[in-house]
Amino acid sequence: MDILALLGQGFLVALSPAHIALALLGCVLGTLIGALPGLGPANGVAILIPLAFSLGLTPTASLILLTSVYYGAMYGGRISSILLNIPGDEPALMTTLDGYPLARQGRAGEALALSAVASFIGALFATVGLMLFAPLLARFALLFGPAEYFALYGLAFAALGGIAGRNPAKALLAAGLGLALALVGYDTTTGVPRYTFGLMELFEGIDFLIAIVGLFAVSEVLLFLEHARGRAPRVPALGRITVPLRVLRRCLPASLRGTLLGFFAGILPGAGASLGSFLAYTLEKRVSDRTGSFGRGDPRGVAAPEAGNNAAAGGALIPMLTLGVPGSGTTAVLLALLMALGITPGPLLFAEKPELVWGLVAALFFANVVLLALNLPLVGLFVRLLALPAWILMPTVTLVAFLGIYSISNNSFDLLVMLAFGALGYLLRKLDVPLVPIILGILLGNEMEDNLRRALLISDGDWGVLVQSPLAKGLWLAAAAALLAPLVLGRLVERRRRALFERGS
Amino acid sequence: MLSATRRTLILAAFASGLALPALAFDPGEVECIAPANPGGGWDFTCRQVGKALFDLGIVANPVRVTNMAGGGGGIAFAYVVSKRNQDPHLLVAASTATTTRLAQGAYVDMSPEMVRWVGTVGADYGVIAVAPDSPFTSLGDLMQALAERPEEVSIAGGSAFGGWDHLKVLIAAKAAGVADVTRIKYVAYKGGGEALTALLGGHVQAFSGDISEVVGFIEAGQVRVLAVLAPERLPGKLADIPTAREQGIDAIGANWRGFYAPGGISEEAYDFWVEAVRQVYESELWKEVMAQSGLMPFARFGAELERFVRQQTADIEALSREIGLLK
Amino acid sequence: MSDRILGICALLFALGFVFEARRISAPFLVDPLGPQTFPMLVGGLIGAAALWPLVRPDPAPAWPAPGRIGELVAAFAAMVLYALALRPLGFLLATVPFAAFLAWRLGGGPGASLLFGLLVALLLRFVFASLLGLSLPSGPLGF
Repeated sequence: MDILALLGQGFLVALSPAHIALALLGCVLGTLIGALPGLGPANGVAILIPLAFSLGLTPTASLILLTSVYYGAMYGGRISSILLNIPGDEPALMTTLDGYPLARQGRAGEALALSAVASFIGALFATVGLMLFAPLLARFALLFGPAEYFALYGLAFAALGGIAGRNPAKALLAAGLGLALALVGYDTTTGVPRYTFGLMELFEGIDFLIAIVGLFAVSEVLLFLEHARGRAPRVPALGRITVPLRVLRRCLPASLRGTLLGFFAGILPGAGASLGSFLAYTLEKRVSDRTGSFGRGDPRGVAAPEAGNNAAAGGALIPMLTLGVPGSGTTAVLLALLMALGITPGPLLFAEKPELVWGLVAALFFANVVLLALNLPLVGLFVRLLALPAWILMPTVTLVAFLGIYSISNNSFDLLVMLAFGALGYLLRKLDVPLVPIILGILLGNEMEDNLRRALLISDGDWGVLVQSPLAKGLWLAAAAALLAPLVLGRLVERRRRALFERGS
Repeated sequence: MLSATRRTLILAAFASGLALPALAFDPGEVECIAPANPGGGWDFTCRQVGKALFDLGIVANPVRVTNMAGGGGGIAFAYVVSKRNQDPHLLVAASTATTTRLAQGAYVDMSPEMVRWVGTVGADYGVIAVAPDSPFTSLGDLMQALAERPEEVSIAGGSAFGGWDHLKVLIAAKAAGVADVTRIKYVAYKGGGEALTALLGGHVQAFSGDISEVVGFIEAGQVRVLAVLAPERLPGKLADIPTAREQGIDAIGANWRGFYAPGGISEEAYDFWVEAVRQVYESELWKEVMAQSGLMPFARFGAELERFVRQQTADIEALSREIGLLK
Repeated sequence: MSDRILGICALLFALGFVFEARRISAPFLVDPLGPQTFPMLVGGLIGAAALWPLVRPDPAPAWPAPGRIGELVAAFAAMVLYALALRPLGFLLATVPFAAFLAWRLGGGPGASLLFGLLVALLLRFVFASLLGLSLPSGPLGF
């Protein structure tokens, strides 16, 4: 009852005309930013912070605007994933795996509608979760010490087998490459530079965004150039922008599983939406993929990660608001915004600034409904942006990628790094080396090493600390299961897959 | 950006020896470089001070903020020294992080004398905190433990080994007479929030950070601040926190925020900017910003700041040598 | 064959990575593991994973014909040139020819490509500089 009363107050705050207008603006801008390859939510929010300042918005209004952008970008990220096989942001990566094949089968409209619904489900439940569990889950997050984080990242890598593609050795190679790239820059623990070769530009490490834009967007342009003349127009026909009820019903369990997993992945500080969508997809593949249809356009392979990444976006707000610990890159930017506005997030925020917290929660509900409404009928409008002829679209995408990266640091070094990643991405894609493990390695590599070393520093070098707590034990058991399952079940699955393949061909 | 022709004209005016009085210096179109991504502390400094400069009528045009992330501020520093050394329309946001990295040679081939230090607009003071149920009840207790059984106490902070949060522990430990500061177990996190979470979760025994990072936690009763590393007690509701100095440990840790300007600008331009930053700092408008953002008083301008920066870099260099970070 | 080359490259990378790891200097007494151990483990992992494509390579992918490779190299060179020219030439001066070149190579007519280059440069300048307030490089002519 108490929560409902607070939420009621929140809606009073959120539904003032100015705040409604800001939420609408944020949703549209966010979807647009998310849809454009290379401009992910973190970048989008960061770019718009100056706007919030220059408009002289109150803290509540700024937060409503920018979290709407955040949610919008999470929705929008799927559009280019599905249509162009270019993830608009890192969490939308998983959506490419089945979304793009669906689009090539002429079911792009269906995939887009389905992903909008799945996103809605994920975000809706996560917002409810945020409302109910924020104080409670803050305590849960505290159980994660260095050893537990290390185990968690171990689990994430062990789960990689699920998306390894045809050749596990190449997935391992890719993961190693990602980890290696993550190690460039200052070592967090000792502060010594590693693999920087005296270049100051490398001291802070390789910006994740630069790597992803290079690996995906630039390599996509190169792949496209390779076939430039012979290929038909690239953006696949949309088909109907509705989901058949049958498909929807089949995808509902996937969406709910994805929501749950994504939400919890989002809550873990540092894990964020990428891990959420990754785990959601991997689990769904394990649970539902009986015929090897995942990766070839299974609607559930779209629903699960989309629900997962939107749920994670909501979940990531919990540690940010309750502990001031961002759960993802974007929430880190939002956190910086809060601090700049003179608000210290923390356990007291809920007690001291109820109008801000509950206004935000209410605004998220509102934004979510707006986004569903925007994305079902209006998705065609966003898509038309992508349906331009390739000689217009591809150079524009290239330029936006260049400018997005350039705006981070105003120097051409980052652009050259991006291009190097582009060339690398092109070669690896030709050689069938999966790119996702590289991204995961870059994303988690630092944290994984840092937490291992923190754990050993605190324990004075006793490796036993890594498996001391029940939570760590549980995580390692889960990791072992994730690693062994494909080995044990792999043959069986492979036989089935082969049988299916032979029948099919 | 100021057009090159116009900039040349202005430079020509200086070069031809027109003796412009301090107030006659025309700031023109001013650029402020924040050597980090949008949203960080340096970005905040540029945007807020830039806004105040314009709102107070000190400059005629809105200040343009350029983000130049990389090298922990080193990219921007090297860029200013090599490409914009004569540009009098340029300010660059700086803080203790800038001097720390300069002192430790992290800005390759750069030194503090290559730029002009203009002025500060406030500071965030260091704190050393523990969990509410900790056996340590004073800074002295903690320091005694660090001296006698350092293997049992882990201290978390939001910067790398040798970074500012680590240095504050070392400064306090040295002031308390801890003989071997190299045995102190400092656990590095990527930010203050992460380090505090480790403290709250009971994974480490103490925390070193800035006061702005712990304000919310003090009120919730989730941390106990043993000491603030400020010259005197902080104002307002933070007045209950004892300083290190009153506990007999003479340690100050001020993370100041301010600006430097290119090294090759004229004295007129330098004096103008020193005066401009001082005016911002002393304005009512800025007092509001400080209250809102939790910035504490810290005022050093012009020559005084140049002296302060020289002293701070020398101190940090000596400490870094002692812990083996510099050879 | 392609996979063997990949394996050799990855192996060389791993060797170089481990070799570099040994040269990382560390301050004394920081953490038990030090800054070298984890990079060496990662190098070992890459090296081990590189053996597989060396020993059991997949069939080679379809590489583009020499003419196409020339096309790719040209486009990539244009991108590198653009990255280098953006700052000294300024946004418009660098962007118009670059965008026009890419559009032309992707099948746009020469005239249409040039027009497109001009329009897209102006549009992006409007969005990034005027709407989002980001600073774009201005170059010697001030735009």
